[in-house]
Amino acid sequence: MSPTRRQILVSAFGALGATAVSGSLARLALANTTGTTDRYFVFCYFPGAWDILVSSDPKDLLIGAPVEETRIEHAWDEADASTLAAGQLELLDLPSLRPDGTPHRVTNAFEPFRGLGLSSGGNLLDRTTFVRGLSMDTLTHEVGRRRFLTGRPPTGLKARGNSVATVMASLLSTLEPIPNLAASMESYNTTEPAFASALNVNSVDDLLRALRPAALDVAPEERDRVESMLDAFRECMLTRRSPARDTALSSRKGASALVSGGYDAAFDLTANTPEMEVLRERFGIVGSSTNTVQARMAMAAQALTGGVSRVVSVQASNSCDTHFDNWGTDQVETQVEGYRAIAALASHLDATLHPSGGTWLDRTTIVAFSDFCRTPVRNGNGGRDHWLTNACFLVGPDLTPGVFGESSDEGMAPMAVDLATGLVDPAGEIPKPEHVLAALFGTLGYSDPATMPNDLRVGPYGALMSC
Amino acid sequence: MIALALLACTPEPAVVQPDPVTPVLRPEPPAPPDMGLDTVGTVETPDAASPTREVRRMDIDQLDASIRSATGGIGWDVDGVSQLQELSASLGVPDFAQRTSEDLTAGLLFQKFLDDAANAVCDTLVERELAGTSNVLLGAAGPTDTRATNAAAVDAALAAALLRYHGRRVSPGDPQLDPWTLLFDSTLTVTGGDTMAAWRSVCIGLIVHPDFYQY
Repeated sequence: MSPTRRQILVSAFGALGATAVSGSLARLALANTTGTTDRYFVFCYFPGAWDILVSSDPKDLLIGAPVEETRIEHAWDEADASTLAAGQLELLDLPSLRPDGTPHRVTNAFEPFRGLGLSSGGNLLDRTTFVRGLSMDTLTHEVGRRRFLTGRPPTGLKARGNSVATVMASLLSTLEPIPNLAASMESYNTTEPAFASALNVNSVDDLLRALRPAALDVAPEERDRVESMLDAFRECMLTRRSPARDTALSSRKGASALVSGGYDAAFDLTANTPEMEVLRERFGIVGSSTNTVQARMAMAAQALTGGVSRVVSVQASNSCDTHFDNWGTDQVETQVEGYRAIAALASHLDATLHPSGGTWLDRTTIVAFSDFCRTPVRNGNGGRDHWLTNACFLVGPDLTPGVFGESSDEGMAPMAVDLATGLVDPAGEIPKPEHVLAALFGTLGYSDPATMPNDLRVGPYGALMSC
Repeated sequence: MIALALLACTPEPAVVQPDPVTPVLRPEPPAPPDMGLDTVGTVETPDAASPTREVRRMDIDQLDASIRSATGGIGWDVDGVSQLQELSASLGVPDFAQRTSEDLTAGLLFQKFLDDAANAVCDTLVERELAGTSNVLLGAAGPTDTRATNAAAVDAALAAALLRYHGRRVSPGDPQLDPWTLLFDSTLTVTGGDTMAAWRSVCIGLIVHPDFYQY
């Protein structure tokens, strides 16, 4: 197999470090030539392992069945869902049907999705792709999280390979000043060019500080002198033979360019401007704190539509790790807060026209995931512990809405499916995060496991892809 | 008892004496070659950029402490709060909940906030130096001294600063000092002779230089 143009260029530029690839020309040279490039991605992480039994995989056909037989205990009457319109957990029908004709359902935790009418017709829930019955092969938070971030099983706790967000930024970014933006999220870059590394901030406030000049800044002519001295140092042989120093000085240039770019205004969420008032209203930002789920999602919206980023990763909720009676008080509310924020993001993208026509939602794929799920039976403390199974959901222009895969009717175990149809098939494969992530690459034109980016070594979950 | 008595009376075996051996003296070691110790030869010093380990960045705690140490106790503080600690999560410091190891890349955020820190501490330091309440940068140089008026004192202060900030011992006149004298002089020129700006540039330059935060 002959290497692709991209592989050759990555190899060539990789040896030169960040400097060579920081320019837009180099980025254009490295950009994806396999297929679609006009795409944006938002990765939404629900930390602490979500309980899918109260949301995306409610096992609705087993409600009322004996727990001793199913090993599935709903206990919905003990889960606080008071902020939902119904005041309690209920089921919502999805457009897709099971092979026997019964409807797929999720709970009204997705009420914000159903309530969001889209400009193209229908609502967000109708446009959502749910993937059930994923196997995470772990009960350790870090391992599950890193597997979903990279599509590869970690070595111990250590992530392997790049974050898929990094690879996406590498494949798709051309001119964005921060191709890969991450808020309260881990990100990895082991082999991709430096420009694709995430700018990783803990809060929107920190991002704002990074984009603004220092509170105490020196005069431009004084700054120029320092830069000249560093440029001279960079030119010397010692620096050019030290990738770490070269990367450091290159990053300094990048940081300086970010400040001079004037991007800060787009992220000043508390500014007293009409634009920010609309944004605060849409995302439900209250008060001056910007270290919230709502603020992070607004940041993602601004980063994409402002042309600042190609890929954004955000922590979409507070911790879902409810081992005790906080399962009853917090689990549903925590997830619903995240779904509301994602719906607000989708609403904003749907309401914002893309320069090339259509809306930003027409070009953006949203991926929501967690470490794994929680035990289908409660523990002695009234909480739920860690469970190997998982589900995720996606919204995207190249994805097929509906429900794919199943967890088992006894103990919610992952079940083998035919990846081409998403139907349970004992002769099929147990779906894993890498199959879902490969489907994302599939929407960009990658389908061969042998050449799948990030060395995923699996084919895509084909049923998810509409293209 | 009889047996014991017999045993007790058994004569000791005769000791066999070895034949006397004539000791062999070790040969004298060969005379060392003439190394010409009276003269200093040349050795091939290792290339500083040879394939040894790559430099690595100090962590945020070390950076905070280093800045304070180099500036005589001035940190990047706002209302008594260290800004490097305030920004530690964005700067990759582990929280031991989601992150257990520190990200030591000298990336965009690190560079931005390092620059902010350098601007803040150097402004305070130079103000104190020129007011005479601190003397860790100017040394024997006076507040208005330039290399045109007192080159020896300024060069000595620059050499001392290079040792203090980068651990690099150079003598005034050493070519390694040239970038710093140039920085001092050129800042003076572009600011119309503002020595505070010149010393501040030197201070900022020393902190944002990779030799300060990478080792």
